[in-house]
Amino acid sequence: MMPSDSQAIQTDNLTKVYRDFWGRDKVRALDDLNLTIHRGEVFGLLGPNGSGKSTTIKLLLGLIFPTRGRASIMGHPAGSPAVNERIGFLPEESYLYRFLNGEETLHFYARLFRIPRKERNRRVPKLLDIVGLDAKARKRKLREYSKGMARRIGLAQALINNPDLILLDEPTTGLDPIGTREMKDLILSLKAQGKTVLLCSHLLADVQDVCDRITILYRGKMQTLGLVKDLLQVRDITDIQMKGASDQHIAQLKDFLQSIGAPNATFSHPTTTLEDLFVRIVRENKDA
Amino acid sequence: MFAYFPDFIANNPGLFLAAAIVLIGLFGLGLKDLLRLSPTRLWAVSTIALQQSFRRRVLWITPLLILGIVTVCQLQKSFDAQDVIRQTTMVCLFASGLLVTLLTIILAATNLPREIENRVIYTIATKPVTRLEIVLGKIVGFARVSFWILFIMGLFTYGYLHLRNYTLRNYVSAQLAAPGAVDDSIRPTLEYYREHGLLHARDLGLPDSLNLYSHLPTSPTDRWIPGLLEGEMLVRFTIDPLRIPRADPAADPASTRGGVFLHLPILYRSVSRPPSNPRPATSPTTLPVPRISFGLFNANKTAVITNRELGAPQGIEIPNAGDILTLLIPPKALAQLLPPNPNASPADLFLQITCDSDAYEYSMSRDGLAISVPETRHRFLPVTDIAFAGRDGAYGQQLRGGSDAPNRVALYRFTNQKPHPTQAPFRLFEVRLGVERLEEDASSYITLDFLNRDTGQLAPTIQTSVETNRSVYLNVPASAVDSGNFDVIIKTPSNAWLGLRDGPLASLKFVKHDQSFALNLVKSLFIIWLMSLLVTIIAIFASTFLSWPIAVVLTVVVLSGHWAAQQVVDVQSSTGIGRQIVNDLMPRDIDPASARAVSSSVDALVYTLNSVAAILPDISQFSAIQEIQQGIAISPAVVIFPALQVTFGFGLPLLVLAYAFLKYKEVAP
Ligand SMILES: Nc1ncnc2c1ncn2[C@@H]1O[C@H](COP(=O)(O)OP(=O)(O)OP(=O)(O)O)[C@@H](O)[C@H]1O
Ligand SMILES: [Mg+2]
Repeated sequence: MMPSDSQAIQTDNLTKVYRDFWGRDKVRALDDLNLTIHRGEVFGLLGPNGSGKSTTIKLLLGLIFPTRGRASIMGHPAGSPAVNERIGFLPEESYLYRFLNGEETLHFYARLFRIPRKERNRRVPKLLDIVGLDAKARKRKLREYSKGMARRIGLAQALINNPDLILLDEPTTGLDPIGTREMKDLILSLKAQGKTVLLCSHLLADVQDVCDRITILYRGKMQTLGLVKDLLQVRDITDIQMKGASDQHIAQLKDFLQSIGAPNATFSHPTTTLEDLFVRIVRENKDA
Repeated sequence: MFAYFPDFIANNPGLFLAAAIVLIGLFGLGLKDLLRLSPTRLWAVSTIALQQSFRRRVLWITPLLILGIVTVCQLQKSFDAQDVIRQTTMVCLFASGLLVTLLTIILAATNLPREIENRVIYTIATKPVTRLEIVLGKIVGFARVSFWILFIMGLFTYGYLHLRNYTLRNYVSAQLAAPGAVDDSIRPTLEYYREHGLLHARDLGLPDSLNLYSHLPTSPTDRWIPGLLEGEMLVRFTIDPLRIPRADPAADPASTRGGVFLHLPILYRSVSRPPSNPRPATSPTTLPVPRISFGLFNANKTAVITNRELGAPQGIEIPNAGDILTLLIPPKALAQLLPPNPNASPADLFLQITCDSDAYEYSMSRDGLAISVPETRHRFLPVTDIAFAGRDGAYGQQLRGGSDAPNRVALYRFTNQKPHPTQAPFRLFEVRLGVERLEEDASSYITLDFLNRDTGQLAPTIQTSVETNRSVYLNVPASAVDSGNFDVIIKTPSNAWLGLRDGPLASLKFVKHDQSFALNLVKSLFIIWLMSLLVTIIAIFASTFLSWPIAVVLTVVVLSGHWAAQQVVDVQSSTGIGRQIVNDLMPRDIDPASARAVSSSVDALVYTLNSVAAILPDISQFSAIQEIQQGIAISPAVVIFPALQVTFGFGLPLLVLAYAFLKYKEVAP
């Protein structure tokens, strides 16, 4: 398939085998991934620990090279400097220069994009506001930052170039509930601006709230792919929800359901259904 | 022209390899990245390296180092004012160079592996930065670090030397003012210090030639060397191999085909011994037989033929005066001297002659001196004048003096060495030589006569006392030297051997001009900076594929490899050592096959070490200290260009390799 500029990300049989020093295969971290992410969508990459999510992102960024297959981003091969102009990346942990302070960090990354000084002076404080680092925190060295503060500055550096495609590897780890909320709002506002977001996360509730489509990886293999609302819809089961039902109400409902020929109806409290899906897929594959 | 091309590659493998790496790497693999190269990004990457070093308090080393330097300098023992300055300069620059080198090795070799280890590289490499910009940016960054360190150390060195100069000058003035405190022979030297201070950057006039004779020549042909192998005559021929018929391997072994005749018009005459030292009474009244030894060797001394090879290890008798001594160099011996390829271009051969028996002095005329081909009678004539030299000693050519050899002279010839115009009645000369004293505690002195060759004017004899490697300054009447063409005749009446040097380290130098010392210091620091730049490149190169401790070790190995290989085999003199070892060390009756095996394996080892030395950078080219220490103006052509050549000749290909390695490296651990 031709990589086309209309796709934000496209991978063809993308495979990564980690080898040891002697060239022997060690881990098959990613196996024949075929993925297309459209422009303007928020895409969730899910999977248990060690399923190959970060590996996928590193391949997409050219930090590591595929054993087989290809990845292209906005029509360019992964890792090419030209395409990096339009990408923002928040790694799993904040890998930044710890001897710089918050402001210097952003100025440094802005210089790598050759953003002129005037524009930098405008953009840096604005971003620091967006990620919620106050005036005091900006002047402190990153080595003194708390985990959440480090996440925030990491996010700011990912947005410094006003990217079209943003790759977020577990963006909410280390953030407090308010931070998590703000992160979700930010992702939605990025979507509203027409940007593409690739999101890796374990926090399924977050993913469910913001993602248009998701895929679930397990042991390097893609298991499911689809729209969140389709994946979570189970067609021959109907869920009836009501508030404040008393035991008497429930007994009456049971009787009624039996009379219309649905004797095995179950009654439960709703759960995060994505979690169900996730757990089911992981369990099914474990048994297989 | 293309036929010569492979020869050129074979002769310059290092250069060819370097050019190939740069061309392929930069314009093949890296053309895209080269075109994208942005100074803004490069500078941003380099600034990070600089900030990182500074915030790790690297600059704090400088005050510590300064403290160390001052302590060392205070504890040093020096024998005169100039020596104080020399040692201080040496300590300051040596310490700065060492600090900057060590620091850049450690900073540069650890930088990239650490960034990969702590994954900061993730956020760098995913920005629109090319790997070329990363490599270059880091090199520039550490070059900036060493620049600032050298800047601080340079300021300190300048200030400290000026302080010492000031106190020493006051001290010398006080010494000169006190009546009788100063010996007349060193007065000009001290006056020079008082007038000019001790911080110099002088423009020196070097002699064209140095010849040592058994007595002062009275005419151009009256040139003699002493016996006892204390003198030698040297001359160069250029031999065209095409002119010599090939030896026929099947021919009669006695055939001269492929060999040459050596025609030596040697002269000798008996010398009357000084009455103070008569011959022992027991010696026979008949004079001993005069003999010569000769050596014929090629330009890099990889092959030598001596009288030994002709079956006369004791030397060859000289026929009656006036007869020409003719020797046959047999085909086999000659074949070793000439290039193996019969179509090769003409090659230089050097002829060296030494003579035995001090009952005579010896000479050779250029008339009749030739190498001839038996078959064609073609004669190769010498292409240089005959040089008369002294035996090599610890400090250069040995000039014997004292009552035993009162007539021996050394003659320095200066040509076209005009001083900068001044009104001063005197011109300054620096003498710096070696003394191999024969008696303990005796003081040595020399006499110098300056003769203006254009006017024939002879200046009054100057006498001065000398010490090994200590500079003495002489005031010479301007009229004797201002034409720029003059001879200096040196004799040593005291009972000592002098060691005199020729060339850039000549023992007698004409001080033509004094330049700014500060500029000289800047040049020295620049050379140190160039070295640190090369060190940075090597370290970064090593760190692209090795963990940092191994990268540090590899950097040190690469830096010292050339020097180490040269310690094992001196490139100049010991190629062809295989045959020498067989000749000198093996038992005489060893069978030819094992002799050949030993000889060729020794040669192979030497060849390997020489190749290693040829490929690794020669850091002795970064000679930043010698000139400034001796107060000589650093000449760009002699000192700075070779340093630039090594830095870029070696650094550029390594930089390209570092880039290529990083480009194809997975930077996620
Ligand atoms: N450099 C490496 N060398 C060898 N194996 C590796 C390397 N990096 C990752 N792996 C392996 O590849 C697999 C996938 O790792 P990856 O980091 O992509 O997982 P992940 O989905 O991001 O997990 P997590 O949710 O814990 O972040 C794991 O089994 C891991 O051990
Ligand atoms: Mg991960």
